[in-house]
Formats: sequence, structure tokens, C-alpha cells
Amino acid sequence: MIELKHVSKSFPTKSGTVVALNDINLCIEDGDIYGIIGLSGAGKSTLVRCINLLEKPSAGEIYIDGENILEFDAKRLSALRRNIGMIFQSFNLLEQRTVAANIAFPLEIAKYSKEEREKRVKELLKLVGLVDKEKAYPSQLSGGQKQRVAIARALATRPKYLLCDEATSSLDPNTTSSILNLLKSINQELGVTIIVITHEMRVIESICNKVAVIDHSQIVESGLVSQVFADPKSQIARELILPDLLKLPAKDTTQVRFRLIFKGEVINQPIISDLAIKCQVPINILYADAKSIENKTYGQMVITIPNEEEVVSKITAYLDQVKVTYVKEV
Amino acid sequence: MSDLLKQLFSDGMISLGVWETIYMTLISTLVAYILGLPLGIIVSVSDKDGLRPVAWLNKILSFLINIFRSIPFIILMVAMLPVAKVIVGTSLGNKAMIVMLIIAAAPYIARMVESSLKEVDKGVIEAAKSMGASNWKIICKVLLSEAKPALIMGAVISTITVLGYTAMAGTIGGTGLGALAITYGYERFKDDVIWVCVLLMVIIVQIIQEIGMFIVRKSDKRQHTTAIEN
Repeated sequence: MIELKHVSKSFPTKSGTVVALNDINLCIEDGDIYGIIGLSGAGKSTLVRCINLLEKPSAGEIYIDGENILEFDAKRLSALRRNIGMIFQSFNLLEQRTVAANIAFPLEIAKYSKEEREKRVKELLKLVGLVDKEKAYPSQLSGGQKQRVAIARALATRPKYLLCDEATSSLDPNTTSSILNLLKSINQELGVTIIVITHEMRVIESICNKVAVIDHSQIVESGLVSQVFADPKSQIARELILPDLLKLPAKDTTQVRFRLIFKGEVINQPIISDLAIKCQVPINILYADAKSIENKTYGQMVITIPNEEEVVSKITAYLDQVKVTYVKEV
Repeated sequence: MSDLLKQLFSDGMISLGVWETIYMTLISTLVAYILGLPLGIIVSVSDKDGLRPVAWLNKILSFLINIFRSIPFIILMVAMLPVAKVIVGTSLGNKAMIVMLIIAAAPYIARMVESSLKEVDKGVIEAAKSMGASNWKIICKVLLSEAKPALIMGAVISTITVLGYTAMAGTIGGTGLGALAITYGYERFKDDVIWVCVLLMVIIVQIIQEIGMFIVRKSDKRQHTTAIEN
């Protein structure tokens, strides 16, 4: 388990201090695929680098499996880093080494014997599906293949945790999907806890079970992906998760706007037509969307109805009755 | 062809000159590299963006390197004659010249090494750190091996620069092709001796350059293959 308690980080610059992280509290449990999403400059890369102390926090505590890693000496820090793999947006492979030698690199550092290294490299090449590229150099590989090598390298010392810093941001959509699938299977089959930093919603949607939204150096919202996605509370989360809602036309005072959230059973029921028939009100659908998160479907819909107290109470009563979550949009 | 040139050929003076030039160049460059490489590594690593910033060390070394680099070789040579006398017991002949060449070339090589190491991708260094590599391991296994082609290229350029210096050393008591050109060509007004020496120097430079580039191409794993997109 990784716990961040009141973690802050600021950098001194010529034009004053820049705060990259401000009082971050986060708890990542074993087995999670934890997504951290934010716009560029929000501080997410600094945050992930605090977990393996590539960046040292200015304040706060970080506990990994119950131990405060900020108290570790060089030797223990080195051992800790072997237990936390990391992959990067730009892959960061050693260009002068073959694929096999790249994967063997962390094993050399960890002083594995030559036989152990060779055996482990073979296993890892098989795991990431690059057995035939063993002797190739990084310059001969595509982006997706490079990231596979980086994943194999990060997993070489059998870490319990894997940090992914924008790992799919420089890949095309198809390659992104295949890398995400690989990460998911690593999580499920090897039990590796994965922390994913991204600015792309679909990365969180397709593999994460929990998410934290970071904005202006602070975590503004966190929880299960299904919850946060169904009903984003913060402005930035809404911008990231429901970007289309912001494009809706401005509403006038004669109407009221509701956002309905469909999950579970209700997804298969004709809620809107029932609503129109039973309540006898004219309903205008402005927006509707459905997403699949962890193999469950979630729907969002924005409707407008006349701004009359009687109509509104009839509709909210009906929605309560059929157990559809709704939020009055302002 | 002048009689003097014919005589120099038949006495074996020309081939001796070639040999002495090559010998001085290689020995000086080798020793200068042995001194310049760690110096360059220390300067690069102690830089403020380096692996382990040590501001004062970086400033002092950088300052010393700049001093030696800014003095023209012919002046440095004369100024360093007493130093050569202390080190090898004489201020004359090839032994003393080699000392001078090393003093001039080591700071040059240190700068070459420094700039080669600085070109190594910061992300790769970060990746190595994330695996728990110590700074020492990063220097040996990441910096030096990733910068290998650039380092070899730098060594080739340094060798050629030292070759030029050996000719200058001929003016104050060194031997080799430079000394031949000056004593027999310039001082006795025999232009053909000068041209033969120049031609031989050009040939030596070309050979070093070609061999060097061949090794660079062989050792660099980035260029000789084109990436296949996705």
C-alpha cells in the first residue's frame, strides 16, 4: 500500500517559488490500477516521481507498505526502487544496448548472475511478446515495441508497484489499446499495483479502478472511477470527463436543466419515455452519452424541462422512484 | 626534387619523421585522454544539472580548463618548458614535447568528454535512477556507454589536433615532420621539403579520420538502421 500524507513540493526558481504539489493525500491499495489525471502542468509528473523519490517532497510523509520512505538511507532507497518499476512517455531505453541488454540492465544493477539474467530476460520477452526482437536495437523498433521493452525492463526485478508516466501519450490509438491491455493483464496476472499518470480520459476509463483528479497542484477529487465518472463534482473533473457538457448552449430562465446519471439496472429501462408519459411534461434531450467502465455501462443525459415548480417536483419524484441519480445543472 | 629532399629520403629522415610524428601524437593523446576523461566526467557530473552537483568543484575545474584552453599552444609550450624539466628531467627533445602536448591536450579532451556526456538523454538517466542505480553505475553503464560514439568522435578530433601541435613542437626542439619542414624546408629555403611534409601530414590526418569514423559507425547503434513506424 502506498500512502501519501500532506505531501507538498515546491521548486525555487529565479522568479520565486513554484508550488508543484500542495498538500496531497492519496492512498493506493495493493492490486489497484490507480489513475491520476490532470492537465499538463497540474503537477502529476512530480507527484508520481515522489513515490520513488526521484523528486524529494518539500513536506509531508510517504509510506510504502507501512514504512516512511523519506527516512530511508541510500541502500534501502535503492532496494525500494527495485520494488517500484517505472515507465515513461519517451520510453527512455538505452539506445546503444539491444532489447535483451536493456531488459537485463536493472538485473545487472541488482547484481543478478549471468544465468539468472538470461533466464529472466527470456521470461520477460515472452511476457511482452517480443521474443523475436531480442537482438534488435531500440532504433529498429516502433513506439509500441519500445514501450513493451520498457515495461519488460521495469518488471525485471519483480516489483510490486509499477509507475506509468504518460506511458501511452506518444502512441497512436491502436498501440495505446494494446499497451493498456498489457498493463491490465500485468495487474491481473502478476498482481502488480499500477499507478497511471495521464491527461487522457480513455486511459483511465479503460484500465483504472480508482482515480484522482489533480488540478493546480492539488487533488480536487478522488475515488472509484465508476463514481467519479458518473458524477464528477469538481469543475476540472467535469471538463475532463464530460467535455461535451460545456459546449451546450446557454439556458434561459424559462427552463430547468437536469443531468441524469444512469447506472446498473436502469440502463435497460425506457426511463425517458415513461417519464414523458407519466408526468405529461415536454422533455428536451440536449445531450446523451454512454461509457463502459470496468465492463459496466454508465449513461449520462442532460434534459431540459419547463421551469415550473409543479413540473420539477413531479419529475424529481419520478426519478427518485425509479432510482435514477440526477443533478440540477446551474 | 632538390638534392636535400633526395638525401632526406635516402637517409631515412622522412620515414623517421613520419614515425616520430605518429608516435608523439598517439602517446600524447593516449595519456591526455587518460587524464582528460576523468576530468571531463567530474566536470560533467558536478555541473548544476549533473548527476551530483558540486558547485565549487565544477567552478574550479572549469576555470582551470579554460585557462589552459585559452593559451595558444605555441605560447603554452614555451611557458611549460620548466614544468617539463621537472617532470621528465629535460626541456629538450621528444620527451619534453610529449609532456607539453599532454598538458595542452588534456583540458581539450576534458571539454570534449564533458560535451559528449551532456548529450546523453536525461530521461535515460532518470530511468536508471528509477531502477536504483548508483551514480557510479550510471556513469559507467549509462553515461559512458550511451555517449560512446560521441566519445570516439571526440578522441579522433583530439588526435588530429594533437597531430597539429606536434608540428608546432618542431619549432622549439621537437622532432617529426614539423621539425623536418622547419629545419630543412623553411630555414634552408627548400619548398619541396615543406610540401612533402605537408602532404604526409595530410595523409596521416586522413587515415586517422577514416579509421575513427569507421569505428564510430560500427559502434553507434542508433543510425545504421531506420526505425519502422509502429
